Amino acid sequence: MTLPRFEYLAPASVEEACALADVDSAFLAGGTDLLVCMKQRLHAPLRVIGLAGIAELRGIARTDEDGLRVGAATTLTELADWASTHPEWASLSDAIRQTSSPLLRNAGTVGGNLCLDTRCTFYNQPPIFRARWGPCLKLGGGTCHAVRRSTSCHAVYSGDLAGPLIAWSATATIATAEGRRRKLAVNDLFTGEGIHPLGLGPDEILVEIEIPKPPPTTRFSYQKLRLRDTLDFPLAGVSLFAEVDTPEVDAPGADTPRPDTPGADASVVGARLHGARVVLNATGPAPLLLPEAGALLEGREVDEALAVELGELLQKSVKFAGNTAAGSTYRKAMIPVLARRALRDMCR
Amino acid sequence: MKREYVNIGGRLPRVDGMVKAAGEAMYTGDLSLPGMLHGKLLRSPHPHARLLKVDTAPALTLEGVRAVITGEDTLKFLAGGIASPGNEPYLAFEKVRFVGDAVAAVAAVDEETAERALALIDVEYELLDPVLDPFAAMAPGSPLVHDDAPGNISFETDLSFGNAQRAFATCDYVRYDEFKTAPIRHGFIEPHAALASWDTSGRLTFWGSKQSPYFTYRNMAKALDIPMSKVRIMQSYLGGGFGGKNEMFNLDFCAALLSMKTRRPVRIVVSQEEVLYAYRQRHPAWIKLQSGFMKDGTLVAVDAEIVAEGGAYKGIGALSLYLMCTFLALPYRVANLRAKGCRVYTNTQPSCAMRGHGVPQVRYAAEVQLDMAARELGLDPLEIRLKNAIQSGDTTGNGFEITSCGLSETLLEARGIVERWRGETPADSEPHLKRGIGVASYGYLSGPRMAGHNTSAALIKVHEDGRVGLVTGSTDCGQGSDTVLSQIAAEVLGIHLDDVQYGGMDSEIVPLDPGVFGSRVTFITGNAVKWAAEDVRAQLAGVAAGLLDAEPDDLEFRDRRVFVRDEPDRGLPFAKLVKSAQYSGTGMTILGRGYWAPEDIDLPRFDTGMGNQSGAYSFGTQVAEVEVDTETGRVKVLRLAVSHDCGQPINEMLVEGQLEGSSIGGIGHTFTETIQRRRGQTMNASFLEYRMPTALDACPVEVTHTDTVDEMGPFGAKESGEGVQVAVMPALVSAVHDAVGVWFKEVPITPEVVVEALGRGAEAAQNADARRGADARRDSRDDGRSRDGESA
Amino acid sequence: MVEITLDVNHSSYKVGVEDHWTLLDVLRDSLGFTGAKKGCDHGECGACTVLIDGTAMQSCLVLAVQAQGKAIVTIEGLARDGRMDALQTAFHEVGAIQCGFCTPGMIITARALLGRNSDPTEDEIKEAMSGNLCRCTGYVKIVEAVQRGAAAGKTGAGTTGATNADS
Repeated sequence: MTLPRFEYLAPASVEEACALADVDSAFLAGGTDLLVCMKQRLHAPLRVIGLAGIAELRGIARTDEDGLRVGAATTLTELADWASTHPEWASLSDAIRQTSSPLLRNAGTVGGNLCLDTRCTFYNQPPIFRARWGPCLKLGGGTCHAVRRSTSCHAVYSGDLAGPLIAWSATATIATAEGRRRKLAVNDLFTGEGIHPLGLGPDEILVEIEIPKPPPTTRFSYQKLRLRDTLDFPLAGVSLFAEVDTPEVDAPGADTPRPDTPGADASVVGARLHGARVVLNATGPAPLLLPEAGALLEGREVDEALAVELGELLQKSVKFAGNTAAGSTYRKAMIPVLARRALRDMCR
Repeated sequence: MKREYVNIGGRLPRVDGMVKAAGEAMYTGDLSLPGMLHGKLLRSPHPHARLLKVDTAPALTLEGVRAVITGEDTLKFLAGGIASPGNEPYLAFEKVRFVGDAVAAVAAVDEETAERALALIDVEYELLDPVLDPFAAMAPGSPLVHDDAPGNISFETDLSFGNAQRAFATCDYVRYDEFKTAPIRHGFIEPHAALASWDTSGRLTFWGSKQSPYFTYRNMAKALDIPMSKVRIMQSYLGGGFGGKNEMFNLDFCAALLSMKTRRPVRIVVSQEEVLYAYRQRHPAWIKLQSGFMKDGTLVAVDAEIVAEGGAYKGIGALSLYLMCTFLALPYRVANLRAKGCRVYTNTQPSCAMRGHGVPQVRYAAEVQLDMAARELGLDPLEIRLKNAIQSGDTTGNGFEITSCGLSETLLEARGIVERWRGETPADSEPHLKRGIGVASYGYLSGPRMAGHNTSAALIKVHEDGRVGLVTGSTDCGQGSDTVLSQIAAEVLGIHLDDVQYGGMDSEIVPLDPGVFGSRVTFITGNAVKWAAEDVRAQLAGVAAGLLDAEPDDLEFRDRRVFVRDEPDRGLPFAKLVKSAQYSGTGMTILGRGYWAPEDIDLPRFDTGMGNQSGAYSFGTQVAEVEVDTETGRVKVLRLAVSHDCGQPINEMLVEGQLEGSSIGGIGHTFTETIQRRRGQTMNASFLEYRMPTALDACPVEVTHTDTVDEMGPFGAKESGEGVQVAVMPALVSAVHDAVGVWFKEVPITPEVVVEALGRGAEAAQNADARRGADARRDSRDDGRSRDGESA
Repeated sequence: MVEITLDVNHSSYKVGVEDHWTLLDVLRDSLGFTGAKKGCDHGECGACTVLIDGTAMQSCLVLAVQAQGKAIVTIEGLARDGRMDALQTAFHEVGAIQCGFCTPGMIITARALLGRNSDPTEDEIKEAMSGNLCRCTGYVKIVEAVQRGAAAGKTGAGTTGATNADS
């Protein structure tokens, strides 16, 4: 369908943008999700406030502490390209490049991906679907089509960036309508509600994120479950960020894989993790930071047993509804696989 | 015997390539006319309902709306139907039969207004119980999709030769398996589009995205009750078809009727979303298959029961079912065959032809079962195929006459490929990655005989600059037929491919043609073009003979010259000859005309499957290598190879393109593609959620041509492009089995299916297979077939 | 309706648009650049891809009003001075075109890739083209065409391919 009619506003500053916004408006960043949802009539805002012309929202800069400040309207391609040329940030680049397709990363922004609306097989549908099924909870209706008799919405937060950014202890700066700014951990952006996944008011804008400089021994892995290596939203994701002590390579036999783990590449042995941050995404209405997983890993040498323990812990933390492209049983079964692969990346 | 050709067999770039690369090629949705209105269709959100009221008045009051039509405004023509009358209204009356069935159409000044008007049409439905599963549909007491189809049976084919039941008792080994294939999308990127312009003389000019324009020509005339000669079908560039753009659809009809009503041109371009939930799909099929072998692998008997879900309407489903049954007789020799097929109506999107038309479904089952049997008998998969491979000169039990056949050669070629790959394949790089290689073979037809008109024709006009214009009624959906046909004309006339201008379809002047389906164009239209070019050559030779003082038969046309054979200097340029013919005396108009269809081809007997269906059959063998991630269940296809007998390739590059595209498409059909429905609603009507292969899923495709020369084909050519898709699924499934030891009897093999099967344990699955085989042998003796077996 | 100025294919156009019109619709319906194809209108197929300030973007997900002040290049604007872009020629010559509906988007995406990376590996090409769907070719020859287009760029043969009139 064509887009529903709206008035387009192009403010030049964040403050102006906040002042223009209300419950009948929507902020437009990359448009890769919002415009599709509008074409499907999931949203029909009266005013669309374009953020692309706001200089403050663009750009990548170093903070005083050598961390990274990324404007919310920076495209995923821009951030991935920048990060890939800076070794300490390169693993973040790998994660971003698992998002969607290259064309959509050219349009999609860091802020837009972070603020992505939740998705559900029974929600992201054209109007003909609702003409028969009626509106679901997320659209103000009385029933959840995904889980019968459920009183809460099971739509899945499907952004790829949130997990990695939470794992990297990123913070977000929010501009409010009163012209104030507040900072909060990216993890605290999310409400855990399928209907309104973000704790932002209609007149609040995500301005930028700050990512602290990772300690030199940091390793990071984002493991994304999907059916094709492009376009697909995550069916589940595991982010693991940790400082890694690798064993002395000159110790005799240290680089020989253990006999019970054929193939050195596949082994999950040899590293000791500190300060690990483990985040699940696309497993529920919000990304899930699991401090208990960090505690489990703290100071432990990585081995198969630890991989199993981590997998079990993560698996216990999630409850899937059957509302994505793959079944709940499968997605749940894959959590330990993703966890093990993330641990393996720590040991490479 | 092979001949040296100038324009045949090489790697000539396609004639429409640069226009397409430049972005200048106009597809139907790119066309507009002055004063043009935009049309939209209102569709039923219910799978099965009685229409109580369709009130268009509120929509008509919206500013910018020019006309609204419903089923009551139509003559209630029913489209589709082979072997019996059709049953699909272009706009529903009385009932709607699937989610997406059209109930009204609007013409307005722009798309937005048309969309808003749809929302104002007031439709009252009386909801009826839908039938959403073919087995439930056949059960007694099930609601009827069509009142005149008891048991929701759309069509039945019962093919039998030899005596399969008796033959099983003589077999050393009999196995029974049940297979299932998924509903699949054609996947063309260009959505359906139509532009119609009605004028005061009573003539309708129509541009459409149609594979077979004369289907639309006939149906349009009938549906509007106007003379066929008043229907002028123009053909724009076509953005892919794969069988899904053969039929005339509701948007085509509505554009025309709305243009009649408004006296304005009307364009309707449906959204890709609508294509995906409201138009055609490949028949999903449930196949119960029993095959009997001797110890040495000889295939003795086959017994199949096929249930094909036809969806809401008849369409051309009789042909689909007929092909499903008859292609159990090819490409292997089998003396005893029983194939019972049943096409069943359900309240879902109608099923139709798609690349391979019914054959991929049954051959997936048959090829996989052949591999299973080979393993049980201790035979190599290639050996069992060589043992049974059909040969040139054979006639199948149902009457397919095999003329040229290179199947065995393709199998020998494949053996070399498999050996080479086994040598090159490294040990599994990581414990969770398992590699495997599989093979499968196929046979396919070069144009099916249909019940109606079967002749293709060509016209060639010679321009005075020595170039020629060629028209035929066959459309190029991307397969390259404009190029292939131009090459044939160029070769006969001894001119260059650049000298042939392929003209577009225009039913006013272009001769009648059955359409573009069943891999018929190169073989059948190609012969018509050859004949038309020979007609031109004969006319020009008559003139040249006078000028050169030679016999016409002694003249050779080559390299834009006409000369006496073996005396190249005694001749003149082609262009000069044309001018001489046109300018001398009373002057000539050189127009060549040709028409052709294979003779001695039987009218298809859709109910019994007997008779020779095509003038030639193509063959080939597919080899696949995969890597299975046993942890996630994802399968990566590492490489494919096709050894192919398409007779003499007219254009090797285009043949390669067909084989590559068909093969990679098959990767999607095997691993990721299926239409997901809930309560009759298509849930994945997007390219995001209907997962076709992307560039990252593509793999190298090694192509080898095992050239035969088909006596009937133009320059010895036969089919290419559809047939190979027949063997992709089984080759991949066999490769997955080679990798992880599990047979998959249902496609697609999504990651969750793989993980679940591996979790259950390969060994358990094997035991179950063996048990079922034993049960089947028992059943075959008492003809018992009531059990519902489970499939992996 | 507002009047905006769009810079398309190196020329400036004044055009009246509504705020909610997409760049794709304005390019096709108002300006006649129908080389940008509407395949899915949801950013899932890549057929509508155009260059916006050198970046490959799906124009179905860009508002026309957002495109003011930016240099837009559609497939029609790739040829310069009557000479086809090396990629256009390469797609034609290696058989990377079948129905041709995805072709404009494919070529534009490939052009943007070569703008960033003049010598991409096969894997980089596949990755870069992975948002453009093609059902006909199986991508094999598309990858080959991009490689050939890159090679032509390196040897300076960038725009010496056949002109359109030659085809």
